[in-house]
Amino acid sequence: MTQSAHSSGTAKNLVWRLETLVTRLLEGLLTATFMAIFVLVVVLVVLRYVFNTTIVGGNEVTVMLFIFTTALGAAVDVARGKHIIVDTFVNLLSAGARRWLDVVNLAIIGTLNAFLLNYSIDWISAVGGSENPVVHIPEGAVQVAMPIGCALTILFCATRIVSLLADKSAAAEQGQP
Amino acid sequence: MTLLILSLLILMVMGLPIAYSMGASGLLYFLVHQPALISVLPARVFAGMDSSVMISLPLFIIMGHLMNHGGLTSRLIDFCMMFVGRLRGGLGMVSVMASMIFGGISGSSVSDAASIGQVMIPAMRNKGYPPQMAAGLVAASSTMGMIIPPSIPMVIYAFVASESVGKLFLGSLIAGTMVGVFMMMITLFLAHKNNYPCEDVDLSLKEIKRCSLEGIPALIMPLIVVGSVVSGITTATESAAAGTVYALLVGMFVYKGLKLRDLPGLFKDAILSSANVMIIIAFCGIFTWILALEHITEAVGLLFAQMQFSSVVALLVVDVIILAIGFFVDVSPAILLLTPIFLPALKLLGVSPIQFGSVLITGLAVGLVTPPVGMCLNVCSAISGKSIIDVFRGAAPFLVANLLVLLLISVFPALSTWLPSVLMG
Repeated sequence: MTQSAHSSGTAKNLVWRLETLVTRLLEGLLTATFMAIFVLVVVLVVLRYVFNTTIVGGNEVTVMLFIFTTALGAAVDVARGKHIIVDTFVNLLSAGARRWLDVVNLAIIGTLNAFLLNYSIDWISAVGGSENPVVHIPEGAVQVAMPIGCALTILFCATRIVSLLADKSAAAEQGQP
Repeated sequence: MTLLILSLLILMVMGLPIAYSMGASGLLYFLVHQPALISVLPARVFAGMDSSVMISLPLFIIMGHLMNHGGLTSRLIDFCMMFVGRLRGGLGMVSVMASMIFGGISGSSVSDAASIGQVMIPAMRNKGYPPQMAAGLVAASSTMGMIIPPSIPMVIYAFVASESVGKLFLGSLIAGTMVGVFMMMITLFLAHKNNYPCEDVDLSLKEIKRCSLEGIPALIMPLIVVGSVVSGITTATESAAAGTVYALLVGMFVYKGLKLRDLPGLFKDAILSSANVMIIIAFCGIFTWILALEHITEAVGLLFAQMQFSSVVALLVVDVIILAIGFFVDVSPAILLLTPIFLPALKLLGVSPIQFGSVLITGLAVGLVTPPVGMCLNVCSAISGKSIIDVFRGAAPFLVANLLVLLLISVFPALSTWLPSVLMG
């Protein structure tokens, strides 16, 4: 193995470890959050229909948690490569061309999320201070799911790009397309 | 607008995830045409995620996972065997009937195809059915999973169209049942023509009691979920939560196939699947906003008016577009793309949103069994080991049922609107 192939393998290994660690943490967090949403909805149903009462702000909290699961879950799906795509045409490409296209696509996703990250910070600065009338927390505490999700998506785009490029170097070393 | 459509198509063809294709083409549109509005994009995306109705989405997904993981499939098949197993082509009939009932539990065609297919495709092959027919029948009958309520795509449509989930569930009930009945008729015809075997079913009192006791818990599930929404007792989210609790109890204590240690994995899969759809809904907010800015819905309405389309002709034209889009685009993004474009124009022609919902879901269900992106086709191809084209050939005769029902519900609005109007006013 040449030095360049070795270094690209090490870089890929490091990136892979980082990606796996963050992904697992997020998956655990998402699972726990979804379980909390489920329990909260069930408790609200029981309170409403059995005891004719409710937890003030319970519905609002479930929606807030759900927003976080979407923002973080979408980022995790970038890492897992599980987003819904139309793959009819890209499946016709060679492995090498497909890899380059994946790099381009990840770069587009990263750029889009960088724009959203930038503008969402401005947006939260402008309106995030207003208080939710039911649960009395700043709206920004929930809106922050947007920039967090975007930042994680950018991170995963970067790790996927590094992995794909490292794969390309390794394939080139072995004389594959 | 040309820029938006062109860039959206190019990005989707490039294999960019549909959510981000919508987002990137929307961003491009604002950069070129409306740079002053670009700072509003995050608020639009956020608004798409901020929905209490859509919390029912992961709950419906986990409900199906729990029921399936608990050991529902084999019990359901035994239960159906009692009723139709003795007919000619009994196993084929059982596949269709099991898919109908499964549709009332899972709300997802793909999980229907995977669960029923694992058992029924090998069973039919062992009994001498041609493998492509066995796989094709399961793939085609699994389309009922998203037509018969509760239906996950119907919840997504209800959100986009701002319509009652209960009315939409009822609106597609007749369509789903008709698809099942027509598929059974086609199966029976093919079974007689090709001399497929009847099954030797044990109909002793003891066996009937066993199958009934094991099958009835599965039949109660749609009654809880659909019944509570339709009667107005609960919201869609509350009924999905009640259904999930029921699935948890049945899976753990009645079927005993579900263990506590299975739950984290199932909950993880459900919430990630939900995020996958929700992020498309979120980015669709940008797309819908541009449609409004560019007055596209008015333009479509004007086009229909200029061509002097009646509501039936307009719906039939839209049917063709739905079928064509269904060939290439998955169900959820297709709903999100087509609803804001066509629903306002069709409403102006007097088409009920309930009827359009029923037509849209029934039409897109066909796309699950057509190459190249048919998800049910892929699942049954993997199970049977036959190529996608072979499975499609096997499914083609049964898809006549879907197309016939699509035509009927497009021409006769009462098939979709009668039940909701009688039961929900």
